[in-house]
Amino acid sequence: MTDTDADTDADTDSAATLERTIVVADDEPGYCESIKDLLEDEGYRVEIAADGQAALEILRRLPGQPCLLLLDLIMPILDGGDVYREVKADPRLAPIPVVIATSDPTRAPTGAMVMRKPVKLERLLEVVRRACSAT
Amino acid sequence: MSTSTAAPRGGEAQTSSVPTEPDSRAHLVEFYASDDHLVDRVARYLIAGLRAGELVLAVVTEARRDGLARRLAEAGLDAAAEIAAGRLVMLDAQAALDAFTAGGEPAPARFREHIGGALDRAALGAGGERTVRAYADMVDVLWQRGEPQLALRVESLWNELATERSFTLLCAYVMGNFYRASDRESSEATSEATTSAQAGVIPAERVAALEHELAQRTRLEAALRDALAREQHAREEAERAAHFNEVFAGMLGHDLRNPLGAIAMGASYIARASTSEKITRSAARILSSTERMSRMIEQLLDFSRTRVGSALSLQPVRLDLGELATRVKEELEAIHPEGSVALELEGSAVGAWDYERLLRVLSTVIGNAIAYGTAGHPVTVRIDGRAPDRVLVSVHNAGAMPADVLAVLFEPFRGTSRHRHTQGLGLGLFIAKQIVRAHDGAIEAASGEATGTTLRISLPRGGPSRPAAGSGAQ
Repeated sequence: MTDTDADTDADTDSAATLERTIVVADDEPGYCESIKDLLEDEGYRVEIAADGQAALEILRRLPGQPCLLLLDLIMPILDGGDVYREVKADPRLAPIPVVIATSDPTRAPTGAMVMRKPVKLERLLEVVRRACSAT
Repeated sequence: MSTSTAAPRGGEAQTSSVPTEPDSRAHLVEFYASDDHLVDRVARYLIAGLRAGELVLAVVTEARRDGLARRLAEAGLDAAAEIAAGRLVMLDAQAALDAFTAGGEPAPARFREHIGGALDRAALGAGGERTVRAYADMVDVLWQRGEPQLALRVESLWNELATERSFTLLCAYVMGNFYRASDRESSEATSEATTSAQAGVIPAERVAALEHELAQRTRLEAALRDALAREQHAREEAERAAHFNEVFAGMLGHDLRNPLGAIAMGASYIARASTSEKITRSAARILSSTERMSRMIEQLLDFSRTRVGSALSLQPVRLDLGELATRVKEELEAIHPEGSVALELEGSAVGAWDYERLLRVLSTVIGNAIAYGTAGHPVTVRIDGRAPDRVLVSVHNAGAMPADVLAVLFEPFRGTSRHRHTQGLGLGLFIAKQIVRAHDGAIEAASGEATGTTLRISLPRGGPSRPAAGSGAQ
């Protein structure tokens, strides 16, 4: 399944599918594509956003909550810190687990879970499994 | 008598009396006519510092040393006791000048070593870096010796020290050594004079002497203003360059790390998905290289930040150094199966520190100890949390470090051939020192053939999570 398919196929937005949907917001296409391939192999559905604004639009478009938002900090248009604050300020989006993937954890918003870049694959899978089994 | 106050960022010198509570990093200049008056002023300045809990460094002539000790005693302070307690450091001005002067010129490196070292030792002797208040007679000695240019050069060297350390400095210049000399000659002449005609010559000489004195002082003040203006200009240029470098390095770091992250993630995916052992090995090599490059970029970014001065931002959290060291030990032992780390903990290692930064410090220090250790001898990490206000970490290995390496251990880019096999840029210990300093702590190294090498780190526990005195192990 591709993210384009996901936009048009109503069935893919069922509650069961959303439980295994992960939104990845990062402005590095190669990084996003590799994560998407990897997580799809693991049975997850992945939505990619190349900037913070696109990430918010995806989150607001989805009929429910994805099981995880994997968020880069430095992105064009709207950075990860602003996305994090908007998500936590929106009652509908606030329960979404957010993991900040950054090479400089000191810049992450206070209270956010942080995963240091470069992200280790095993660590990523561990975080995804934990977040997506808990929803 | 007047005092010119030059703020650390330069600017117009202003005239006022010596402030007992000067701005941090202020550089004060006092013009004086009477030695007693100066000693009184300096004593008040130093006493205010001692009473405020600051560390006081006085580089003074022998005569002034006694005068200051008397003034301190009158104020109820025992100079010998203050020295013994490490709150007051007194150096001999002439000995200091001899120590950093080479070929009749002040040598910047020697000045940094001797005077900067004295400032550092004063701070470290009190168990950490604290505000230092300094008074120095050296420029006055040079000025009285008729070497105003050398005096100004020493002023500049003090200003250079102030770019790396936080201290308040007071220097003094006698007003009119010519005038005083003339006065003495006049007095002798007076005592020998037997006619009013001879005595009548004296006022004219005095007028000439005063005119000379005024001209001298005007020249000196102009030279000081010029020196301050140059210093200010150089500082602004350096700040602009540092800011540009920081922005540039930040952007470069982000732009380099992003594709690196993509490479790492792609290689990880290939390694996981491939059934070919060769492809898996190849992907692992790509991963290893990306991790090495990532570490170097990280070091460059930290280096760039530290060059901007105190720009290392900290996010202190309640933290257990014992737990942090255990994590570092496990990670490093996994990477270096040939090395082992023995961890010893006494007391409470809890304090308020920046987790990521201290993780970097311990990884660097313990990682280096493993890399340069001796086969068969474990690296020993001792964490001493028995003191209520600080935690001491010592990392020891059996390897001895040559004196020339030890001397520059915390300098950046120590890219000697000895270090070429390492995976970094020779920035690790430099950055570690900046991080420790940003926590108001201290780091030092000692090495010998018989004793091996030990790096000692002293970290104040910080405010929010300062445990009660005598708290036990966590």
